[in-house]
Formats: sequence, structure tokens, C-alpha cells
Amino acid sequence: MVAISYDATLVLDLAAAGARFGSRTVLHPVSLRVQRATTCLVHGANGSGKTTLLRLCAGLLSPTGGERWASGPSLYLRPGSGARRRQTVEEALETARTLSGHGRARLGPALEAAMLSPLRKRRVETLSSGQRSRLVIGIALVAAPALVCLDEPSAHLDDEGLSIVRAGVRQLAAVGTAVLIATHDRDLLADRPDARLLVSDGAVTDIGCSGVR
Amino acid sequence: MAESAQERAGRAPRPVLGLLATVAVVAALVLGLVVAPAEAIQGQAQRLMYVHVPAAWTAFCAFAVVLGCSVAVLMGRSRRWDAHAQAAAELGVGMTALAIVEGSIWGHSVWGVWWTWDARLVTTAVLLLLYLGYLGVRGLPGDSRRVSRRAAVVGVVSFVQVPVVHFSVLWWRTLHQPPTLVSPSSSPPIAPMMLAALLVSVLAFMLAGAWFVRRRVAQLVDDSPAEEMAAVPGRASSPLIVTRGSS
Amino acid sequence: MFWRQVSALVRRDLAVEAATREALATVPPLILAGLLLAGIGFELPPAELAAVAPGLLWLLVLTAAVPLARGVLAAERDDDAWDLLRSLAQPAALLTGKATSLCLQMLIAWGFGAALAVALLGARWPPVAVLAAVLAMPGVATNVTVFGAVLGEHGRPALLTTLILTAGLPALVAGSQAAVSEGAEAWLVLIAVYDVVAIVTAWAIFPALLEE
Repeated sequence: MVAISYDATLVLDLAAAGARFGSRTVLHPVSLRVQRATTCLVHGANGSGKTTLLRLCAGLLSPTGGERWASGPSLYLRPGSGARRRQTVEEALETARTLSGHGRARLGPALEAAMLSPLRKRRVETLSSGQRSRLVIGIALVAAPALVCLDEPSAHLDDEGLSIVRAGVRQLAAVGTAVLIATHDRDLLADRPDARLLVSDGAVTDIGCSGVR
Repeated sequence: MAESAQERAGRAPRPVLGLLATVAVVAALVLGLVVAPAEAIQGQAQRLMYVHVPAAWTAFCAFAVVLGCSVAVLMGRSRRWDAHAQAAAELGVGMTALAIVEGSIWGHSVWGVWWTWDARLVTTAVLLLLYLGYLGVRGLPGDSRRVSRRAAVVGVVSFVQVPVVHFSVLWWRTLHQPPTLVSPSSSPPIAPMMLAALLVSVLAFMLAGAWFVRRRVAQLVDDSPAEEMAAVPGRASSPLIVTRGSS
Repeated sequence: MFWRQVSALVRRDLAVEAATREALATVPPLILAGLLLAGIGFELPPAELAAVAPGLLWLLVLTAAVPLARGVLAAERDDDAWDLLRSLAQPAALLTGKATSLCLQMLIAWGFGAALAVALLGARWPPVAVLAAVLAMPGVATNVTVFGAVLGEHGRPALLTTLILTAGLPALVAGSQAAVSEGAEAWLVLIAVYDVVAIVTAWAIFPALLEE
């Protein structure tokens, strides 16, 4: 079962990586390998360590022990993050696109997919919570890095917003991006996720979905 | 790295250093206050040199230690290096303040001024400010690893600024006496007994400084939660693998 | 890729500044207040007032760098945009981008103050003084970027001011001496050394500031 050709398909390899703040262990060492174009839901109670796991995966947090390897840039996004309040929606996406080194052609489709085209000239601070959650999907799509970690992407979202998240995740997987999603919503994705992880008291376990061994 | 209490106790300051420092301090006091002659022009006030010069030298050495330990911290070294950086910075700040205050008293008794805009004086004051800033960053709240990395950055930036600061002030104005020992002439312009007293004072300050740093490091490492030195408890298990499409 | 990221970061910062006008609304009044109060407080004859003007202006520009340093990290964190920057931009590009936009803002502040000092204090600016300001600002801005990143999430404006003022001393001395004393070329050399030291050090250590 472990006989996978890692070299080409692996985007993230955590080897016994843990996290600790001061004397408190927030995440016990976990070994996690994520292949490209996969989707994985991360469940767990509040304060269990989901966010820490995602930030560790995204490389924002250096592991207290163990190692992290990633094949390329990783992005951690939560609703409302990733843009300056006084930027316009278009400027925010443009920043993410340029920093990721993608061509201009990316911008239009990402705006469309996140249904942000009518809002492109609006300042981020004037967006509603749900619209800001869509902005996060737009940023992920326009940057399309190796790994995207979405923290509670469905917060503040209505049904339409939820379908945008679902479509966005599908599109990310289609371009080869691996997506980790921390959520309480077990049915967040329309398609079955490739894996489900449970974080409980800082310990990460698989919860039996196929694809997780 | 995990470190047992025994290992830590093994690294506790040995009394030898403290004893040596005490002997050197007593010797320096006797030499500086009794044996060495009073200076012809400056009189008894010149004896302040036996504190002023060693304090300044000790401070410079301490700041060099801060630099070395800061670089080590930035290269991922352990909490012990960080504790050495902090202890050395505290020593350096104390010694710099002592050198400035004491130099000011000396200057006032010899030249009648508390302060002069001389390059070495200004540089020393800047050193004091930079490392007070360093200690300020050390005192920031938050995760100790992050704080020590931030402090290490300030430790490096501060040290490399010092020569530039010194030269800029040196060019700006030089009023001070030329350096006493590091002068181009082959024989130092100082009586042999004065030189002996000065060198013993320097030794006493260095030993006492080293003793302080060791004590402080032991205290700092003890203060930090024991768990911090320990590795994260291992949970050896086969890796979780997220792979495509097998669902 | 490096320069593309740098230019994206600079354009982004300037666009945000154009939208907020935060620096524009705060820095010129600060410099005006400083020059005005110094003129009154020092009570010097005109010739001496003109002689202290360059040093005074540098002191004010360094002080104005303290609120500007918020733009490095504090403002990014307030808007929850810092994580995106450190995820997508190379550390060197992030340093260069942030330092460049700071440098531009501080040069504008210096230029504004220099014009004001001519009117209020009778200052004279030989071309070499302007050149010194242009040359010194990258080093100053780099130091401010580093300190802004060190203290960005903690506030502590007094500590930030102490660090910025002390690390800015060579720029202050060289920049003001280039305006008032003979032999300005030597000061330009000192400024170049200052820049190199500041930039090389920041380049080496900045990645450590991006880790959590």
C-alpha cells in the first residue's frame, strides 16, 4: 500500500513533526504525506489542534521536532485573510497571482469561479463576511500553489457560497493542488474527500476513509 | 534535547571560577588602591581607571559573546546558547552603564565636565542603547522560541552596527585622549605598577563576568520549563498518507 | 521571479497607501511640527538655525520612520494578510519589497522636510546633501524593516523608536554633515558602507523573522 512513487506526486511530507507553544504541546508528532491533487478534510473539536496542523502543513509554523518538506509554495487561508482591507478585490487577487508567478490569464477565471467579478472594484473592507470567504477561494484559485490549507472555509456562507467553495476545491484539485480543509461540516464537499483526519487533543488519526492508511 | 536533572546539575557553576574571581578581585583592589602609585597630574582620581577600563573591556567581550550566541540561535542551536546570549547581554549592559557613569565621574574630576562629544564615549552610549533595546526585545511576551529568535536578530544587527556608528562619530569629532594602551609607540606610556594593577583588574572583571554569566545561565535554564528541554513525546506510527482517488 | 515579487509588493504597498493616505496624513504634519517647534524652542540666530536644520530634519525623518514601520508587519497582521505574504514571497523579496516602499516614503518625507526647512529655517541643500539622503535611505529603510518585523506584533513604540534612532545614527551624522561640512565625499563613502552593512545583515537574518 505504501508503494507509491513519492517523487513526482508528493506535495507534503511531515516526518514526526509536532508543535509546542512554550511548555504546552499543541500537536503531537505526526507523520503525514499528501499527494498532489488530493482533498482531505480535517475534523476535530475546537482547540484540538486543527489550525496548528494546517499552519504546520502550510509551513507557517516551524515544527518543534521532526521535519517538514514541501514540493512548492503552500498557502494557509481562513475567511477574511490574505488581503489588505483597503485593497480592491481585483488588487488582492492580482497580488496573489503576481507573487505566485502566474500569468495574467489566471485572474479572470478565478474571479468568475469565486463569483467575484461584480465585486472586482469593491474594497475588501466593504465586503460581507460571506463575500470575504469567497475572496479566500478566489485567492487560492489564482495562486494555485502546491498545497492549500483552508481553515473553516464554509464559515458565514450561504448555500450559494458553499457551492462556490465546493467548485473551487474541485478546480484546485484539477490543476494539481492538494487541499487540506479544517471543518466541522462532515459533508462540506460534494465529492467524497480522498481522506479524512481527526485531530483530538493534539493527536492526529485517520478516521477510516479510504485513501488514508 | 532531553536533559536530565543530573546533567544539568553537572553543568552548574563550579566554585573554582568563583574562587578565582574573588582572589583576582582582592588582588586588584590591593594593587589598584594601595600598591600602584597615584598619578602625577590626575592624582587619586586616576585610580578610577582600574574600574573604567576593565568594565568597558568586559562589556565589549560580553557583546561579542551575545553576537556569537545569537548567530548560534539563528542557526537553530539550543536554549543554552540563548541563555548565554541573555546572560552576556545583561552583563554587558551593566558593565557599559558602569563604564559610562564611572568615566563621567572621572572626567568630571579631571577635566571638569561630565560628558564630552568624543567618539568612544558616544559609541559606548550607543552600545548601551542598542543592548537595552536587545533586552527590551528579550522581554517581549510570547512563545520563548520566537522571542529568542527575534532577540538574536537584534543581537546580530546591533553588533554589526557598532563599527559603523563608531567611525561615523569618530569622523564627526575627536576630542578624547588617545587610547592608553593601543598606541602606535612601542612602550605604553604608563608606569609598570599601574599597568600591572590595570591588567589584574581586567582579569578580575573578566573572571567575575564569566562567573556571573555561568550563574545566570544556570538560573535561566532552570527557570525555563523542564519540558521545554525535552523532546516532544514520540508517537511512533506509520505515516498517514493522503493519496488520490482510492475512495 | 525575485524582481517580479519585489515590484508586486511595492505596487501593493503604494496602492494601499494611496487608498488609506495614512502616511500622507501623519508624516508631513509630524515634520512640520518638529521644524516649527525647534525653530521656536532653539531660539537661535538665523545662521545657526540654518546650520542645525540638516541634523534636525534627519532626526525627524528617523522619528517618522517609527509610524511608517507599522506597514512592515503590524498593519499586515491587523488585516490578516501577513501569512499570505510570507507563504508566497521569497524572504529576500519580502525584505526588499517592504524596504523599498519604506525607502520611497521616507525619501518623500525627507524631500518635504527639506523644502520646509528652506522656508522656515533658511536651510541650504547643496546637491551632495540630496545625494547623501538618497544614498542613505536604503540602509535606514532596511534597518527599519528589520525592526518593524521584530516588533510588528507587539507594538512597543518606545522600544522601536530607540532601536531605529540608534541604528540610524550613522545616516544622521553622515547625512547632515554632507550638507554643512567640507569634504562631503568621505561622508558618501561612510553612507555606502552603512548601506552595505545594513542590507547584507538584513538579507542574512530576515528569514529567521518569518518563522513562527
